[in-house]
Amino acid sequence: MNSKTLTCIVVLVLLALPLRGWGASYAAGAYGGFAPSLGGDLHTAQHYSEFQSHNGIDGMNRSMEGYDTGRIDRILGVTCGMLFKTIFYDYYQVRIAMNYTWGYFGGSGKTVFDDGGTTRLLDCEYSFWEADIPVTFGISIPFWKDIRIAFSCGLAYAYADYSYRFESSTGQQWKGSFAGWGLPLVIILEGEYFVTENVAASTSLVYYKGSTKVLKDGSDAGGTDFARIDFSGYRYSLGVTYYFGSI
Amino acid sequence: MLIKAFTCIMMVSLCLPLTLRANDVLGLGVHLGAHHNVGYVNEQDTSVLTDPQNSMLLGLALKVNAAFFFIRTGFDTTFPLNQGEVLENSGQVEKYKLNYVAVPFFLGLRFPVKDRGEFYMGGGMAYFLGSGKVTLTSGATEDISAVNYGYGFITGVQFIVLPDVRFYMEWEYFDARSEAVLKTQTANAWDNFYIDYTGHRIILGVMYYLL
Repeated sequence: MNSKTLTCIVVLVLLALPLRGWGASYAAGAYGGFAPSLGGDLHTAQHYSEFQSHNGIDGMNRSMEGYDTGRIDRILGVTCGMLFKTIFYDYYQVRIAMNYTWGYFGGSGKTVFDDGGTTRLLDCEYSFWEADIPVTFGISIPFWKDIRIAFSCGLAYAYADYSYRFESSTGQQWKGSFAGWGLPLVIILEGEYFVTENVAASTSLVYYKGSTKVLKDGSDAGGTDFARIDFSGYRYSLGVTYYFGSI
Repeated sequence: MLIKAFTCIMMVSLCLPLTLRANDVLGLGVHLGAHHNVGYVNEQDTSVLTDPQNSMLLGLALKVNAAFFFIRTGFDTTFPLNQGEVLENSGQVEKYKLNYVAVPFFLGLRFPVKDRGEFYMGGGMAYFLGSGKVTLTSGATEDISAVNYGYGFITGVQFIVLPDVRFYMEWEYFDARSEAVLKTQTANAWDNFYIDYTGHRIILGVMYYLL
C-alpha cells in the first residue's frame, strides 16, 4: 500500500474520533452473509492460451457427448465482518469495517479441452479468499426511534488470494496462484431496526468495483500465468449493531 | 389478455371487504417487471457486439412478515420484448430468444415506516427453468433448455394505497448460469453456449395483505 492511500485511510478514521463533543454517537457491529460470483470470472492468460477460454471459468463451462463433464459454477462466497461507525450531526456517518470472504460453493467440476488436437477431460478446481477494510462516508437517516437507513460510499483496501489447479486425464497438471491488493470502490446500502434502545438488527447490500493490477503466477507448475484479481460484485449481509448511547 | 387478468385481480382486491383489516403478515401480489440484456451473450464471447434481448416479467409474489423479518417468494415468467441479435460476430450465433420461469426465495429485514409503507432488503436464491431458440449463422434454429439455480438479493419499497393494499417496487439481482447446452463455435467440438440468467430486474406491482 503506498503512503498516499495509507494517509487517506488514517485521516478518515481520525475524522471519526474527535466528534464526541459534537453530539456524535458510536456503534459497533458484526455481520455475516454471502457474495455471489466471488472473484468474477477468474480469468487468466492461460485460460485462453492453453484451455481455449476467452472468459475464465465461464468459458471452461463446457459439455461434450461421450465425456463425463460436470458444470463448473462461479464461486459463491461466504462473508463475515465487523464494523465501527460514527454518526454525527444526526444524519452523517463514517463507517469502517473489516471483512473476510472465502469461497464456499462452486469453483470445481470437469470440463474438456483441446490438448494439441486431442480432446481430453480436465478436472478444474478454483479457490479464492479475500480480506478487506472498507472506509465509507455517507448519510444515515433515522425514521422515528426504531429505524435507520444509511447510504455511504468510499474505498476499500482489499487483499485477495486466488489459485486454481487443473489436471488432465493424462495426469498433466497446471497450477496458478495469485495474491495482491487493490482499492475497489465501495457503495453500501444499510438498514437497521432497533430491537432495544441500543441494539439494532442490521442488513446491508454492498457493491465493490475494482481489481488488482496484473499479477504474475506464483506457482511453479504448468508455466507462467498472469491474472488480474477482480473484487467487483455484490454482497448481502445480516447482523447486529450495538450503539454506545441512544440514537 | 394480460391486461385483463391484471385488471380483474386489481378489481377483486379492491372489492374485498375493507372490514377484513390485515396485520401485514401475509401478502399476495401481482407484478410486472423488466429484465435488460437477457442471456448476457456479449459476456459469453467478449469479441461479439450484440443488440441485447429485453424481456418483460409477469409474476406473483408471496410475502410473509414476522416482526422485522420477511420471507418473499413467488414466481416470475418472462416474455421477450425483442430478440437478441449479434451484430459483430466471431462465433455462430445470429439471433437468440430466451425465456425462463424463476422461483425466487428471499429472507431479510423489513423496515416499516409508520402509515406510509415499508422498506425491505433480503438475500436468497432462485430456481430457473429456462428455454429458448438460437438462430445460427448457418440459418439453422436450435432449441435449448436448462434448469438451474442462482443467488442474489432483493431490495424493495411498499407504499400503502388502501388499508390492506400496497403498491410495491422491487430491485432484484441474480447471478446464475446453466451448463453448456449448445455448440456455437467452429474451432472446437464441445458445447459452449450456456443460458445466463444473471442480471437486474425492476418490478412494479400491487400487493394485497390477506392476514
